[in-house]
Amino acid sequence: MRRFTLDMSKGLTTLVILLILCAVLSVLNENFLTTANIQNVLRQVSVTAISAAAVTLVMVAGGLDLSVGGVVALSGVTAALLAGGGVPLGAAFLGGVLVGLVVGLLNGILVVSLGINSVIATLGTMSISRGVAQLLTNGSPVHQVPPDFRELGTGFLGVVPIPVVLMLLTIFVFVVVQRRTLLGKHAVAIGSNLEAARLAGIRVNRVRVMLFVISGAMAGFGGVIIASRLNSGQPNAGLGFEFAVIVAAVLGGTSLSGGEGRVEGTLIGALIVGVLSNGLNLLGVAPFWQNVVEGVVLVLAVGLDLLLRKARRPIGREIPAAAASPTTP
Amino acid sequence: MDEQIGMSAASSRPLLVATGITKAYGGVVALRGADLEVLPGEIHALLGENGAGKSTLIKILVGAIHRDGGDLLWRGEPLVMESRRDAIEKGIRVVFQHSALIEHLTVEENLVLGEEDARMGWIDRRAMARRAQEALAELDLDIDLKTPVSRLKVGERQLVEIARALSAEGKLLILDEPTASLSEGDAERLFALLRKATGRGTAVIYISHRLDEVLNLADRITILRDGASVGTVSRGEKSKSELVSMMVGRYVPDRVEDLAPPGGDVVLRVEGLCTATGLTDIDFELHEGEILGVYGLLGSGRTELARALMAADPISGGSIQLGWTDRPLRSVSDACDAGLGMVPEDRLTEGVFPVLSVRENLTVAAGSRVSRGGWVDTKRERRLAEEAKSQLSIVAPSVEARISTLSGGNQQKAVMGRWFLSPRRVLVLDDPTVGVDVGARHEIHRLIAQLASEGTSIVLTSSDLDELVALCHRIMVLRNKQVAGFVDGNDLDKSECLHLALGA
Repeated sequence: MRRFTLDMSKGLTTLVILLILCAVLSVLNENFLTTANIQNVLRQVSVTAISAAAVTLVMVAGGLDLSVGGVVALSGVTAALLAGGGVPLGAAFLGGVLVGLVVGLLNGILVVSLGINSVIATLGTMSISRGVAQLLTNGSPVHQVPPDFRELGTGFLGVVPIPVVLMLLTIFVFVVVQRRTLLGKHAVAIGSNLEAARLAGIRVNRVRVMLFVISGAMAGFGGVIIASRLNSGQPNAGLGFEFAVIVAAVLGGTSLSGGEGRVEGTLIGALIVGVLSNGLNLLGVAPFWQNVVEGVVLVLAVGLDLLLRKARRPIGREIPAAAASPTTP
Repeated sequence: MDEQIGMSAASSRPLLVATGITKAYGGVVALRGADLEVLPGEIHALLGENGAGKSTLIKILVGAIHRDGGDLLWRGEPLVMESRRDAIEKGIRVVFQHSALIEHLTVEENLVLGEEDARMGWIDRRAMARRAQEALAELDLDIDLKTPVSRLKVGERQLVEIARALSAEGKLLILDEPTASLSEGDAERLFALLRKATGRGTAVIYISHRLDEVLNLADRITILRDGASVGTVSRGEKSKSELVSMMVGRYVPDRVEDLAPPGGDVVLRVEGLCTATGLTDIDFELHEGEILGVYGLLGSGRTELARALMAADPISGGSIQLGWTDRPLRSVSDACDAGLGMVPEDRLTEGVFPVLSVRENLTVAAGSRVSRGGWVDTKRERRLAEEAKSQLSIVAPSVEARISTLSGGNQQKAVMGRWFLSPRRVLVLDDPTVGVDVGARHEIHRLIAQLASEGTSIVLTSSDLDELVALCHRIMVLRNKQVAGFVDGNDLDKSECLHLALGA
């Protein structure tokens, strides 16, 4: 008889948690299952998920990208400044994405060429990019944007908010990249055993740089969406964003030691974070408590996963350390 | 019960009795009824093929995993084995096949790890250093105590681990493949030490795939097959070939007879090769379809040569030229693109991707055969992996099984299988049968011979001279990271190789 297995990397535990969470909230609060609220939750989750999809690949390859929060601010500010300065909207948005891409390239060079640990390197670029965003704006929001600037972040396709459509597209693309391209295959090999990957002839440096570049660009894309939703470039946008992104990936089963993780799992992880925070709001829980609850959920979920894995594995063997503490901003 | 054991064990009372031990991992049965009886002061060898259950059995004996069923008696008393600590407190010491040393710590720190000399929490450095020095001195090892373990070679690490286990005056010492990465001289030293330890009444459980070694060393031998004990024999009771047939249930010849002669074209020419890793002035040529053995003692430069050929380490002088292309090789991926391939020495740290499936491990280097323009054809990938699995007779529930659930020999076959999936002109195999049992070893030999007959040229380094003599056209002997000489002809002379290696 096949045993029923609970394993985060299979995405089942998290899906069950998400469904239970939704069920409980819909019983506790009548407003939870309304169209407006669901649109609201999904829209809030969308940017996290878009960035987290790319960060998942970085983590699968054994790296970490903390710079995403800073990139969100910098690229949002850039897009707003460009659009406000008369650059066509599409080009302004693209400019925001490109700024993110450049930060990603910088991350790649720091980590791969100079050999700086990715946590430290991207912690540095997180601070640098936020600082540059503040310098560009003198610390205050950029409100002078054309009227259609807000369309990307606030518009709808039928009943579905445009950011949600973009999120679904992004997730789809990244699932395909992970499963069906050499980039995805090589990422997991590098995360599982860097030296073995090198000796197997994989161009490990190229792959790792590429993953950081993609992650930067996707964070930039997220920053543009946030700026559009806020109808302004906010140098303080995306504070704590890296926390949400990494929590989403880890809840989704991504291992911080590399080699394990799925983009679709990350989507579920992002949804859990979003639904939880929305639920706490609806239930009138004070914001300070929300931080506490989110932290507890993260630690509990990862701890539970480790316990379940341990129960199915011989002791004394190393457990892929999803437990190594994620660095919070 | 007690009496019965006493009778079967001749004079002395058994130290350890294991009966009917069973263990399954998920659906895979590793042990289905293993029996083992160890007397004080004896060297007891465990023999068995890959996946016969040797490693699982010893992991149970040292408390690294829990058994599903069966009984353990320690000096006649039921043995409670909840964790490693229980085994350590009983005086059960183990050296696993794979290094359990801590990379960042020095040799000295590793030698006393967990048993540091301390007074009220303060470390007594001098006492520690003295104890570490004694441990190394007993093995006659010339390693600086302050060297970080990360700078040691595989063989040296093995010796340090053995030194650690021996220094602790255990009642039962378990060694899993201790000589896999040792030179003959080091192995001899180890044997002498083991005899000394047994003289003090310590029992030794010894796992090795080297039958000659086992026949010389062991007082008794227990043979495992498919997770169950086939029998226990005393020294001299069975011949080598009888033991092998007990292990595999059939006779396995050791020599590769149908080795095709190499072609005339030179595919690899190495001239005056020097590297930062110490190789000096290496010259040789490799012909099409040739199997060139590279022999040498520990530290003679075998692995350094393998890595230099693959551009895994930079060269500081001389040249490596390929017969079919002038493209410079600046990285391993350049070398792979040019048609070279490597099976690294240390399977665990350089060969396998432990959390990935057999399929992913097999197809990791097969980029162009499973993809077009970066897009992977997953059906084709799976089919190729299935083919390789059956061609190499890799024992695994399916190609989707995690490679880390496979036995060492099967993992190694999967690492080699990469280069079957994407054929190479030159393969560099760095000690590919380390820690691999007789059956799998023979299969790997067969695969190497098959590749050579199909035109692949092979550089095969090995610490096992028998393997090279059985398999190679020619043997290059290294000493002190230089070429000491070549041995060729129809009959490769073992003693000549050894003489060259020793400089005698």
